Amino acid sequence: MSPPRRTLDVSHLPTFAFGHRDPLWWGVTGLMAIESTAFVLMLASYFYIRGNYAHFPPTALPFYVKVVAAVITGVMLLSAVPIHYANRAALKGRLRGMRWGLALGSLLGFVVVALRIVEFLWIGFRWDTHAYGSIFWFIVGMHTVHTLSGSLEDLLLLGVLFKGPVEEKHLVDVHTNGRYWFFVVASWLPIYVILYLDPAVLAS
Amino acid sequence: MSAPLPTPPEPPPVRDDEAWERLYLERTWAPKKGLIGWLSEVHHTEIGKRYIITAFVFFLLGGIEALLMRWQLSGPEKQVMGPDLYNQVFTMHGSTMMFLFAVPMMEGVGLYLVPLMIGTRNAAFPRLNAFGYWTYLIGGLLLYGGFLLNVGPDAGWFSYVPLAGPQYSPGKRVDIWAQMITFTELAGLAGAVNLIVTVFKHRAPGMSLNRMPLFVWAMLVKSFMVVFAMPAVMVASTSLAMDRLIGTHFFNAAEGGDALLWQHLFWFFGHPEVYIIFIPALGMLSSILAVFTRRQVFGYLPVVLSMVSIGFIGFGLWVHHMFATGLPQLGQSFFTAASLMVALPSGVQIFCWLATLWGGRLWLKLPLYWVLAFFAVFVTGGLTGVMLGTYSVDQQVHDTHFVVAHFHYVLIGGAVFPLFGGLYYWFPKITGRMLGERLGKWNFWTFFLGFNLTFFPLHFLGMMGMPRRVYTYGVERGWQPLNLLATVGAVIMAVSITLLLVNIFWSLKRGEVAGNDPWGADTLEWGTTSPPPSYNFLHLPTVRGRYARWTAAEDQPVVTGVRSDRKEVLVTRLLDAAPDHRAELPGPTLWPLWVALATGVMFIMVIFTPWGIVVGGVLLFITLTGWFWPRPPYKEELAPEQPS
Ligand code: HEM
Repeated sequence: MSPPRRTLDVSHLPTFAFGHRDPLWWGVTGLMAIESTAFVLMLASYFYIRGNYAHFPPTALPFYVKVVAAVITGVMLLSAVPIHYANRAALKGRLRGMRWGLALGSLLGFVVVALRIVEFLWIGFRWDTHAYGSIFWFIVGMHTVHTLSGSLEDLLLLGVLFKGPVEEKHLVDVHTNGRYWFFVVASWLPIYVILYLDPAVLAS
Repeated sequence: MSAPLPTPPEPPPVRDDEAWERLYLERTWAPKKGLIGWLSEVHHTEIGKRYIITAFVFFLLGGIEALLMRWQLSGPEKQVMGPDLYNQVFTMHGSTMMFLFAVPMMEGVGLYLVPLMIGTRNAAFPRLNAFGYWTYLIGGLLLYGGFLLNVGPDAGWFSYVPLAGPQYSPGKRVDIWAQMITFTELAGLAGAVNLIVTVFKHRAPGMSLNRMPLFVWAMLVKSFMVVFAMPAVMVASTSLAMDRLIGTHFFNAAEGGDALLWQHLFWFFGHPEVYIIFIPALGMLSSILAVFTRRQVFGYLPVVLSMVSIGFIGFGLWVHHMFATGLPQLGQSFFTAASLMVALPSGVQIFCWLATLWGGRLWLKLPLYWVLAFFAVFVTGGLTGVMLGTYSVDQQVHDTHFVVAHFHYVLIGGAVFPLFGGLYYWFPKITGRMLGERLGKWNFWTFFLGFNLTFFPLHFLGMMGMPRRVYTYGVERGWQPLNLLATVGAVIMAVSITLLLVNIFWSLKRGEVAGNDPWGADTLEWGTTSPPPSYNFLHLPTVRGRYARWTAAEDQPVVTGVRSDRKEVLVTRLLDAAPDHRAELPGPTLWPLWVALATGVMFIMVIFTPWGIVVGGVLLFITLTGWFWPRPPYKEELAPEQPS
């Protein structure tokens, strides 16, 4: 083969990019699509099982559990603020902002997990009490696993940010991680509305 | 490979000099050596090959199980196996063929070919690829380990509850099945995300979406279907495992659960699954058709659109597997209509291909043989499918061998025939040698004959009332002659597969050397050596038309400026594939293997104790930390602010 005559030189292009230009952004979007599908199907199963009960719910949610769930929702929403702050800092490459944002965000995440444990201790039925208990624990449990792993991920990133050296692509990682956390928060909202604000559940 | 290289005098990251470039690339992309090197492999061609070989081994195992069943059914009241073993064997056969052969095989072919076809150096997430393979392997070994220890699952490949529930299936058999599902689906999802992102972000400059090869489109549609279908079966199998292991009541009617919920969740996955197997086969078919008719496929746009619409409609069909469960009238009509509707895009495709054949000059080589046979076999399966899609007919032949005949016509016709065509077509690319022509013809004709001999009689047996999944039948039924015929057919198929194996092993050593492009084909993988080097292309290509190599300009430009001293690849934009940035991919590592093993410990241990979650969770956290821990940094890529 004779050497190619024309070339397309790309050496001037950057070595990282934020947002949908970044392949990892798409990878995480795929993960979110998978998990959303799983949550939707779990919620569909919830409605399917709900339809089997003449009297729903078979066990009432205690008042203080409803309160704890409302607090959890509040803390969840609140946690999006520091993470948003960390994201902004990542775009500008500001180390302090990323550290504070991630630290506060993961702290609030762990608060949610702690409150969840309290909720489960008080809730008054188990996964093996009835099908309602099974699906309730399944959905809320799965979401808690996501909250926990998201918070641990924040810690991991914090480790990188404190130990250094910090590369440009770690800024993208912080940003992607933050976006995933928004997903964790956003997926909680329909779960909260369906599982806790259902008029029959509220009235019980 | 790691032999000391002469140090270039003044090493610029990129030089226009081919020899230096090759030297650099070889050193940068060289796999590690020895066993550790083998275990830490992350290149897509190697992972793809492993998927293909492993899936083929499972195909052989599933085939042996099929032979055992046909032997048992060859005459009335035979005693090859008792009812219990027969239950295990048909469950193993079905589960193996669906979860361990068909889906991973298509995935493997996709992982091998797609990065080559779109002109990049590796998949977008190389380590995720390796992780997927290891999880798949663990799932398969779990299933067969269980089978050897007489805890092989026995509730059918879709494990209906209540039969599969804790009450009617005590012991560990169904648990093993449920965990195998979780493993393979995890692997499937990992591969799907990987393919989607690779296709979205790593296409060669110029390969805009509307210039992508049809095969790549097929893999893309398939991957999207995986993303939305497989979570359903993971939710289902997890629920089933929990019902059996920790006493939940998802499917227990006495406590408010529902057995039909299982069927909904399973078929919400199970029907798309059929298309997950079938659509990649369509992709192979389109590649082969274009090359062996020496022309562009008729109607690129309608073919792509019908693949996409099959992808959507495929999700609206699941209930037609449940026609016998007593559905409300509206449901019956809706799902009958949806089931018949899928015939439209399928029809559009078939006619586009026929038109391609019509106008082309047929180059009758082995790949085309399998494609032509596909038309005959698949259309037959499609016809019985239209029959079964009708509620009233389904009521008659539900759970008989008519259904067995139908789905083998669709599955083998729709997936195995194109797959074998693809094998003959791409074998030269993967190995560098052609498959033997003579043996290949014998292989083809015996398979075609054996297949029809095995499965055509089953239509009649089904209409005569022979039920599926029953280990024997009485003499007075008069089903013997047709059954014997079917068994003879199965033996002929076994002979045929043996010929194929002989051909493969013979050709690996003695086959004619293929060269880069034995077929004069259009897609980019034929532009590099056979087998491709560890960096795929010496120069990353660019594209200016749908059939990349056929439409290339005399002096089609190549990409320069991607570093060859790092595992760098070009990232392009989603729609128009214009160059966007350069990104470094990770190299060989053992972490994916450790993470897969941690996942394995978790899923297998929970069969015995819920502590598996805790132990596995901790192991997963540790191994994932290792996976994500950053490599030593590059000076010129540091962020503006650093920790003091
Ligand atoms: C290669 C030749 C094959 C033969 C001779 C064969 C034969 C059989 C037989 C005898 C049965 C059981 C019938 C019964 O219910 O008693 C069966 C079931 C089945 N086969 Fe095959 N098969 C072959 C290939 C395949 C392939 C390639 C696939 C999928 C890609 C497949 C998928 C299935 C499935 C899903 C079942 C249902 C299992 C169940 O009832 O749970 N088979 N096959």
